[in-house]
Amino acid sequence: MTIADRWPIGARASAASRVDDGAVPPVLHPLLAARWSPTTFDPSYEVTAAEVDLILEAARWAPSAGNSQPWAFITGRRSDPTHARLTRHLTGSSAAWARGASLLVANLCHRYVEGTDWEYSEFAHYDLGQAVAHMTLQAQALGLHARQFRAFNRTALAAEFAVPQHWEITTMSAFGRLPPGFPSIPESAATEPRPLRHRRSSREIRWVAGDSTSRD
Amino acid sequence: MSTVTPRPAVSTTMQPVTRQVPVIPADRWHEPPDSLAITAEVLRAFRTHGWTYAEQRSGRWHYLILRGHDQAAAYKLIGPLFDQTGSYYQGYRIA
Repeated sequence: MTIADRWPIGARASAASRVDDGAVPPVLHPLLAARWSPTTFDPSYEVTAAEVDLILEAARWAPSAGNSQPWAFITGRRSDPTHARLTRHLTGSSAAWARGASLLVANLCHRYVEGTDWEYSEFAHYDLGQAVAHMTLQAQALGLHARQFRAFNRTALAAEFAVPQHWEITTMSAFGRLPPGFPSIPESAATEPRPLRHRRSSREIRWVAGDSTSRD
Repeated sequence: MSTVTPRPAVSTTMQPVTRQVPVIPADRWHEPPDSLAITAEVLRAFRTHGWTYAEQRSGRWHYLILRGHDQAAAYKLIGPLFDQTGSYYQGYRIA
């Protein structure tokens, strides 16, 4: 597999090269093209409060069903007490790598109407995911990388922060900078044993009505 | 640093929409309305005014049963619905 196989063709061109007359195919935005999910972060880089605010601001302005905004976030910058409380409940693989992130965020979803089991919004998880996606791109614009993960003790973390039953800590996100000299995509794709940038082709993800073949 | 972000204030560029909260005078909480927008806040208000509530499901429908003041009221729920302040269930009294 070559780098070209792992790296979207359009991503190798600059967004500035796009023209409107159709002569040059549209290219993937550089922020999207350069986004990936590392498990190694610069242990010396400290995010600023302003960067955290801006990442949250990106989530705040994400769209949601009926403007229901079914999200909330617990943020912990490395070396602050909240970060320590978050890392206490990391499990599995994340316990090994996520501590090095400059910022940990617990992503909360408003799942139920308080005191009932009525769903707050049938799109709550969808909307939270979209808000987190906005956060990752805003982080990317700040020169940060993000990795979203689920390897944490949900019950213990909810108890730690007194999250009520009608809210759910759905996922966590780790933000930080790559260590100095750490190869960035696409260079790392050439040496990374796993096909990090492998994606199904655009042909595969175009659903053809009535075509159920080759889809498990 | 610890932050749990609250729901942001509605932008001033947006048309403010007020949810249809039950307009129940303080001395009329013993008379549940025929229809009301139900949120957690509304359920709390009913509890405060001497009601208990239970849920019931039948097929795909949700029902809310209010009990108190020597009577009961049952609502069929439609939702979740949305307005600019969040989601709610519209309850239609059926008994």
